[in-house]
Amino acid sequence: MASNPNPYLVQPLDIGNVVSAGIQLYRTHFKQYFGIALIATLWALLPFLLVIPIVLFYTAVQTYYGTLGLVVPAWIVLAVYCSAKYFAGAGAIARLAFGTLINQPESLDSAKRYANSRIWGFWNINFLLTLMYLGVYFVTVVVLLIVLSATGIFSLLTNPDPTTFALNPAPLILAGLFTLLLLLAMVVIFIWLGSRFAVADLPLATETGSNATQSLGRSWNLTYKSAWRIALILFITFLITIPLQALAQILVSTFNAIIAVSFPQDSPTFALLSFSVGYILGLVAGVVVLPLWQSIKAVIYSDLRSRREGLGLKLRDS
Amino acid sequence: MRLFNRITLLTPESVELEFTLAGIGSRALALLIDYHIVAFTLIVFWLLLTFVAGQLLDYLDALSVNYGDLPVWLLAIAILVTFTIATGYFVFFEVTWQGQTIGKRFAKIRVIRDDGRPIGLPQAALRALLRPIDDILFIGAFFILLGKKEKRIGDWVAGTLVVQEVRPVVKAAIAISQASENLAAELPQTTHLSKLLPDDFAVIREYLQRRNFMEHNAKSELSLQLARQARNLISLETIPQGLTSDEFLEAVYLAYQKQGGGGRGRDEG
Repeated sequence: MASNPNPYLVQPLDIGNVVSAGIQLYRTHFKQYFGIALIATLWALLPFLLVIPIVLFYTAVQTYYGTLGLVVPAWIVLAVYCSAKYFAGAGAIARLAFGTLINQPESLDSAKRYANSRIWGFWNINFLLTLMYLGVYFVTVVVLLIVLSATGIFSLLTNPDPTTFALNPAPLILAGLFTLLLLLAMVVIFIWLGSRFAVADLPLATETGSNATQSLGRSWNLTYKSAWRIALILFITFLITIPLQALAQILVSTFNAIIAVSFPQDSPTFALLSFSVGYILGLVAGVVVLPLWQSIKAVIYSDLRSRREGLGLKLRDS
Repeated sequence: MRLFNRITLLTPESVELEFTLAGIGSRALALLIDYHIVAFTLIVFWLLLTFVAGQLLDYLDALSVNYGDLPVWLLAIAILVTFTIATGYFVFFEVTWQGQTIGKRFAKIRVIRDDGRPIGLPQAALRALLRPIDDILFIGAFFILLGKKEKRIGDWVAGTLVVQEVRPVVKAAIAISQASENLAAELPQTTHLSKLLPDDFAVIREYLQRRNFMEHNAKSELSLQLARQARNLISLETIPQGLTSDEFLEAVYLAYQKQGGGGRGRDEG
């Protein structure tokens, strides 16, 4: 298409190219995306940092415990708000990335404003997804418990009797196999659901008039028949983040070695410094990786819309 | 913006060739597949070896032969074979498949020389021998990520590039209804079909090829929109009665193609 400077977007992308395109997007907009990710991560960090003065206060004064009834709910509200700010930041990155992909780039402020105006939508999406994953987990555990107790293996496990086991080991072995299979099934379901809802926050971040549940529904529809392809894309992305994690790990070890020169390894100062360095580097790694995932999700989303809705297929205006 | 790095090469015959570089994603995918194949082969080999060596030693024991150094020799051979499999896999496939391994074929990428020629044994061997060094601390991955030409150390030393494979896409045949065929026969007389450009035709063809995978509502909307635009482009008053927008697009596609215009489509070349 002569009018489209980006002819690749019209054609569906191969698995590897989705990942490469996401990385290229991130590389070319590193400053912008990294900045948003940094602020978003600091928001997510705030409630945890606040715990420190609160704990210090109560251990120091040893009284006023009655006020905890007020402090704890206030903290929970703050934590919810801060996590929402984090999700909105992630949404803003996704919005910017998608805008670039469809050749409608947007200013940083405008993308942030848009995402912030839907802050509770992003929170709801993540809340619902978390509930869903917890649901799958609990169902798995309940099924396991029911099957184990119904077959009498549960009582065998809680009251291990070596003689009965020696006489008939088959039930226990079968139980072990069953548990393994069930766990495997749970992992497969997790991966499958994760792929079906991989672009759950993209519609909310990019389509006007979308809300949390509609956004989830859109992700579900768009990923129809694409779940395993998306799972492979996400896995390749994960593989590419491994060198980064390895780099962080090396830095942590180096810092530990440096700290160990000045402080004995069993001193509290060493533990504190070592922990802080590891924590900060972990945080930085998280900040670096968040835009990568969001960019790749934006590419997946635009690719899915191209496949499922013909996004970009347009004739000249006559 | 450009999502994929491109590179222009000058061949020894002074011909300029443009390639799209493979990209870290496709290379990681290819590597994932290749390493699984190599690992699987090695596991099979070691299982076989363990079995055969066990049998052999049992047999020699039964004959009460003094075999002394044999286990060490077996181990040496095993290590040699392991090395041969791990390196030879890449060398063999990259040489015989013109720069492709099984993983690279799946990921649709290919190794070529810096001047665009297919790689030979020396290049493939250098790439394979330097692979372990590139794997240490993921040095190769960083080189590919940060370098403009996406070359890992093995690529620099061997003078090779990894590029996307240019393969003619085999597209699904487009099903065309009888009504569309009838209309297609009339269109050249009743409309200005020549106003349709190859790029427009390419869009219509793309839609018709991909429509089956599209979501129902989105497809109907897109089809209607494309049909309206196409109708305006070829200056047709109204879409004939009783014809769906899909059928109209099929007719335009068919008529344009019969006219001989389809061959000039940009992505046919």
